Amino acid sequence: MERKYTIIIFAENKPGVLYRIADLFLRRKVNIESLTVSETQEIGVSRFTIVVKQHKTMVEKIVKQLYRIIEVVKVFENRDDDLLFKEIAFIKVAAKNPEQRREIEDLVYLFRAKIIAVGKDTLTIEKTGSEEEINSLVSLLRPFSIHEFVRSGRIAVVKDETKFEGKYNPVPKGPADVVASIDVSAIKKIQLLANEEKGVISLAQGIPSFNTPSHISEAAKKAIDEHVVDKYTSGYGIDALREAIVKKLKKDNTIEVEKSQVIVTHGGIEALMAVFIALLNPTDEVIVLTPDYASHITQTRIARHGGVPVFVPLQETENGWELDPKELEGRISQNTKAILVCNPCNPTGKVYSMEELKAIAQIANKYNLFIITDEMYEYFTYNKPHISIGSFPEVKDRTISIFGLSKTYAMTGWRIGYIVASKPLITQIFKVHDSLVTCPTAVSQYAALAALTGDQTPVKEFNESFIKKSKIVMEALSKTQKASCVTPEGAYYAFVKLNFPVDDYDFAVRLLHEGKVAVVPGSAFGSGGENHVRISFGGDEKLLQEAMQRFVNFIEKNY
Amino acid sequence: MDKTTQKTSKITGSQALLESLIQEGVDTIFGYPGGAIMPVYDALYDYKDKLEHILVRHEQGAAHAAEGYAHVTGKPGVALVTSGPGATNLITGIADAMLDSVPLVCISGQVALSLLGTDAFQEVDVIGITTPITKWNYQITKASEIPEVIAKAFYIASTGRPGPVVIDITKNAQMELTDYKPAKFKGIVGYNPTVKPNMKQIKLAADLLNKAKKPYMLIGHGILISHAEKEVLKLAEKLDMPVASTLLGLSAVPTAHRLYAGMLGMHGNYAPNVLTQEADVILAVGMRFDDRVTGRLSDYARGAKVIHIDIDPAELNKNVKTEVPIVANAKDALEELVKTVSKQTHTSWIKKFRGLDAIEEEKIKKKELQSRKDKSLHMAQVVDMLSKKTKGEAVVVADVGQHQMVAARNYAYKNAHSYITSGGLGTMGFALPAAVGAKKGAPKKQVVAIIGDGSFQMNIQELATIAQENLPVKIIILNNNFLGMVRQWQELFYDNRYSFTNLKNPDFVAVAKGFFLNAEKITTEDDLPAAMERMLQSEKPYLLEVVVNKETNVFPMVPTGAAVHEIRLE
Repeated sequence: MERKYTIIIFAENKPGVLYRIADLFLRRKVNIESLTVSETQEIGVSRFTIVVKQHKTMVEKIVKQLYRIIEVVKVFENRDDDLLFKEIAFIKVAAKNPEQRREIEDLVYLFRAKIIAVGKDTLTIEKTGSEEEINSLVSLLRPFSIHEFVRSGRIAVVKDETKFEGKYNPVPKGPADVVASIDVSAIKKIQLLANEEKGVISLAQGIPSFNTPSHISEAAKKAIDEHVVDKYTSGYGIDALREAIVKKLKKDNTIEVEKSQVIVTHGGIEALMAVFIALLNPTDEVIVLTPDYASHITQTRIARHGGVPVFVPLQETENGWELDPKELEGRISQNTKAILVCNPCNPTGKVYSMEELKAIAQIANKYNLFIITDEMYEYFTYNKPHISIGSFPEVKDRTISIFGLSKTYAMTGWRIGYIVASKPLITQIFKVHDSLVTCPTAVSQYAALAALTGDQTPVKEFNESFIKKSKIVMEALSKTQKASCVTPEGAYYAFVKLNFPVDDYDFAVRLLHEGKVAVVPGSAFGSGGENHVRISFGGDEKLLQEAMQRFVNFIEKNY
Repeated sequence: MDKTTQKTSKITGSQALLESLIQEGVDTIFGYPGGAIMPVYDALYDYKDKLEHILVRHEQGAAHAAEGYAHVTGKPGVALVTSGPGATNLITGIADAMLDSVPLVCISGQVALSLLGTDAFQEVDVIGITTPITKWNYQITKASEIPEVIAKAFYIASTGRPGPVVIDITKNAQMELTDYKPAKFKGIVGYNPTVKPNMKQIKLAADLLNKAKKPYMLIGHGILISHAEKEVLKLAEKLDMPVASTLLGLSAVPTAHRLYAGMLGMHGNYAPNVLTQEADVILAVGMRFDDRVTGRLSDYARGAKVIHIDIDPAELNKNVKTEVPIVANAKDALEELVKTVSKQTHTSWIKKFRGLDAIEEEKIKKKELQSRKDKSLHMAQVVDMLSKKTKGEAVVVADVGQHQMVAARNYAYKNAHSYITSGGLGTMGFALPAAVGAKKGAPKKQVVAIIGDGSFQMNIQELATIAQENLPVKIIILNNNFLGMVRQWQELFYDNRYSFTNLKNPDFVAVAKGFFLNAEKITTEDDLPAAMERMLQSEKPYLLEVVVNKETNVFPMVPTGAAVHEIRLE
């Protein structure tokens, strides 16, 4: 049996949607009795109220097909019993003499309508109500001669309060815009691809091949057995460790600080994130000297809820990657808040010279900027000494230095790093650190303590091994004209320039599939990284040799 | 730091379009240039190494070629045309793709934004025209919209139930400079196809199937689209359940498989149609109970409880009343079903199929394939020979008509995606351009177009495309000098009144040679093996015209309005 159905449709407010919806009724030759479209409480979502007289099965089929329309979010079909509904009508009726006027006014009163305009010979009536009420008013007014008649069509809400709950939720909540816009890092992407493909040697992730020296692990085991690791430690880290850090800073970095100026963190990454969140407003700009570690860029974006940092590319010269202080100064704006210095640098292996650091310090003082460092690879330098900018007295209050044990002691899995800064800054950074991790993992802190206070020969051995491996890389590259590389001064990365035009991401993927070597595309490291790939030589020596052979063969053969 | 936020630079909208296509994995475009799309063609000149453009001879050819490409690759086919007639010439192909759920992204040029709605030269309301026959369409009027809209177009075309998408791009948008940034697809509020089945429904379905005495599986195009061929066989074998296919589901299950029952529908096989009425549980997957499959609906499968799996909820309970509807991707649903059902055997039920197969063999196939005194050829002999000579490994692209049904019935398909045809819309002229696309998408496969003499003349101009590309497509014309299927209906239902179905054909061999293609014509059974061998061995395009019996009919047949068990064998 044909009955009256009110179909309520929620759809994105885009051009052409009405056409698509109407076409579905047209295709099945179903006449639309009335149609209204309006905004809803959700921005960008329209509500269509369509009344048809139809069989139930036909209505059900149309409802299903309405869902096929890409822009349609939700559809409900309702019988009149389920609805509160009304429409509005304007009726302009002739009223030529006082007697007629009175009669009409009586009808208006009776129907709880309104006279909204009085003309010389007409009255305009507004009636809000059900279709039936409007129809009967109109039929009673007809003898007076109706000049104009218009009605809005039905608008309706569903009586049952629970009906839309849970069902009607047109805009699924997504993540924060900035997070949604961030891609999985190229390093991880390549690593994932490498894991899927058989026989690939990965030079992508910066993981040293060594085990953590055994005296460190033993100390951790002992700490576990003694139950000193069972509870939270101080958020700043255990006293003994911080004291050891203070000594190390004095001896190896010539940074003189008190224990209260040190926070032990969950690796370098947490340290950086805590510092960025503590220091940066959304509109503040951070200068990043590129090519630079991809996570720095992502972290600053997340911390500021916004776009990319300001890149100052270093110049790739025969003598290495060089900073032009004028270029740096030229990029400073009113919004500049900090300069990030990754030293020794991942991915270029650059170690900053005294002159360069002095220039950065001078600019920071001139423009009142913070200096944030990432010195994870401090012990791995090949000819040039590593200098901590935090040791310069002129910038000691504006420098936040970040160190870690991951690389130095082959402890990437233990997650221990630390922040060193002036007391006022440390207090602020601590608030974020506390919110992120409460305290660094206790057992790792005892391991770190053993690392800092114990035998330091493994660190020297690691460094020697990296020097050797860097030579393997450079020697392999010397056999081809198609790639070149500034000799790394530190860390364990070679940032190899491809001497042919290619999209480095495509190149890395192709190298992975065809050459069976995983490397990271250089454009992941900010401007200046295009047309480069990063090779990590922290891994096994034999595999490195094999991988370099494959790398060189691949480019020789294909480019 | 991700790559996408790094690379921004000003390029034209046309370049942005091409970059976006590359981003979506496009490597082949079928198209035809013209005024309102010239900026894109100009940009294409610099992208020759990344995007191969096949110049068709008529835009309808571009749409069908893109369909053929999509059928064999599973990727959306891309057609690129100009405004006005360029776009309207695509319409048939778009409608064809809509009915057969083929992913297409059709890009049409449009007059500049300032001219829209002014009846400008070659202006037509493409969005208005294509709305009822597209899954989605959109008009781009600013270059900055391009990356996101293209990403969305490909997402919509290829996910859920695939279908055609039309993107109309005004000329100003093609020329403007824009900060190009590859777009990430961000999701659509109202579009989120259900892929995973509801486990409650799966359990209900499994219960029915476990208890069934005569379970019967009907498969359609959805199996090929979701690559569920293996799952179909696993389930069928576990339940010892016969499997019949719709026209578009052909080749999902190898013809020779023990449980393969044959083709459903008007010109399907005898057993699968008749036994539909005896089944007690029907499991229909990725098919839509088209009227060509069900015959008279009121008498269809009356004894069966129906389980229907489809990714498009609008298909469930649309034509056939369904006991257990399951909205899901066919592959996902079948994977779950395989895990949930228990092992069964149905020997006597399967025997019934074989019994009826023998009748069809005796009454139809034998007669079709036997030698005649005058050595004249039946279409089935040609397809049978092709099937044997290619060992069932070729990709057969069939046009529409008697030859389409003969090709469907007589070729022993071994590999998935190897029978390509126009099912829902029944578009004559489909096969020649579709074969171009299929060969481009599967260059290593032997691609054979089987076409009737009527259909061949509907897109005959694409011979030039084949010649220009030197595409080794093999073309068999089954020539009976009639619009055969219509003539058959006139014979059976219109009292032999052959109203305008008689064709006076050109010399097809001379026509092919005019396009510089190799071609030959045969008329007798004796010439067939050698001629077919020459065609298959040729490394170039090759046209083989086979003159076949003029007035043979395709049987079995379920006449319009009859129930499937009323299928006629003669």
